Amino acid sequence: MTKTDAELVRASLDDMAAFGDIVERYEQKLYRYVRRISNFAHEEIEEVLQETFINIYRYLNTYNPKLSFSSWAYRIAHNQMISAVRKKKARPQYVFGDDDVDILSLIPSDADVEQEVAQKCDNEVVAQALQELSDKYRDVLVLQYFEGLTYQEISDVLQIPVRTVGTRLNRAKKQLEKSLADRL
Amino acid sequence: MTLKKQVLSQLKECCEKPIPRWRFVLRGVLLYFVLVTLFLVTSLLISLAFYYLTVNDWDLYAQVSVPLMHKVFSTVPFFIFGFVAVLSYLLYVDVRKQGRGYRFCTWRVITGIVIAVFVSGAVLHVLDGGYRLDRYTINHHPGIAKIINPRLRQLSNPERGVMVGQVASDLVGNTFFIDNPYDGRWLIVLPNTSTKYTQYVQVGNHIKCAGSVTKPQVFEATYIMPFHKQLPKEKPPLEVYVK
Repeated sequence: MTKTDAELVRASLDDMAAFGDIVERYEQKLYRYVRRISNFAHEEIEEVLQETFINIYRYLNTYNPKLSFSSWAYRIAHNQMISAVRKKKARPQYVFGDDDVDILSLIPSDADVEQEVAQKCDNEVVAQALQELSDKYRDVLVLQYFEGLTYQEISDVLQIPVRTVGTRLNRAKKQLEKSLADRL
Repeated sequence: MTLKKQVLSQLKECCEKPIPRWRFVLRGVLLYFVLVTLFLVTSLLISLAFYYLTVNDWDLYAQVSVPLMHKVFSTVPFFIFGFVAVLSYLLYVDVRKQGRGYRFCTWRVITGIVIAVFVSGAVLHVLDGGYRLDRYTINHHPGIAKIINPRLRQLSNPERGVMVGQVASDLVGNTFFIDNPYDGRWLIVLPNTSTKYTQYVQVGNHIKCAGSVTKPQVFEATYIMPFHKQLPKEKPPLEVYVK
């Protein structure tokens, strides 16, 4: 039977080997997340992830089982990525991977122009448009539409109020639409 | 080497262990302690401000013609409000540092803090918290008392027609002496026909007067009342205000 995250955390506190299961479970998810919000190469992402998992292990005792473990892990990865970006002094950029699906199909909107845009534009154009978004807007878009997190989980990852998540998402979508409309 | 192996080998190499839970518990307790302390201090300062506003001697200003802004600046405890603002900001930061403090909107946290400290300050004021703090600062830290409550200096202003002091002599005819903490001894002259204020002229009493300067160190008073009427009977000499 598959162990829950909370059970794995408890086991990891006594046995370091059990922590390997946590690494295995979240390695791919966090890899994709870091790649999506950074312009890092594969090796740099691996470094960030390594530091992320080491920090997760160090701070295992701060994990609150009432909250989602994945949100907590994303938050540590997010902070680690930000500190890596600061070190590198580079602005994070959206990077596409082979496993990414059509982005606009993931971002729903009532605007007619968007449907038109969704049919016409390719991922490269969207990637550029996303690059133009400020970090705070890109973060919520990626967490909502690529990582599939709920508002509450995004709030826990970015440590902002839930209402702020909603506001940022709305603004991010509008800015993205405008930016895409200008390009096409 | 897979990431899992890399992570586990690095953890082993560096002999990493999860940081003990007690350190996080201690941090949480410290944050709560700071929160409660800041809240109490801020509430106490609010109660002190309420106290100063209730004994602000507006009646004396009603007797003389001074600009409204002068009245406001000399009676509103701006220093306390400034300090309260700083402490409230620290309270805000503390709330944000609490476990799930990030979940609340900024304006809700700020509004909550402001309402809580004002309500708590009002309750403390009713329980004489501000009065006791005022007594304590005057008796033990007169320098601080002078800073947080500049009212005495503002009311020791004969040129503007206001004067406070301690009665230094009995009434002789219609004159008596008072010791003003800033300008020394003054002769106070009462109008010949007036007797309604003589009850306040007893050696050692703190009084406030409205009137005008007629000669050097001579003040003709048209209005006299006890100063700082909530001072206890065992009030300290007025000099402690200006030590």
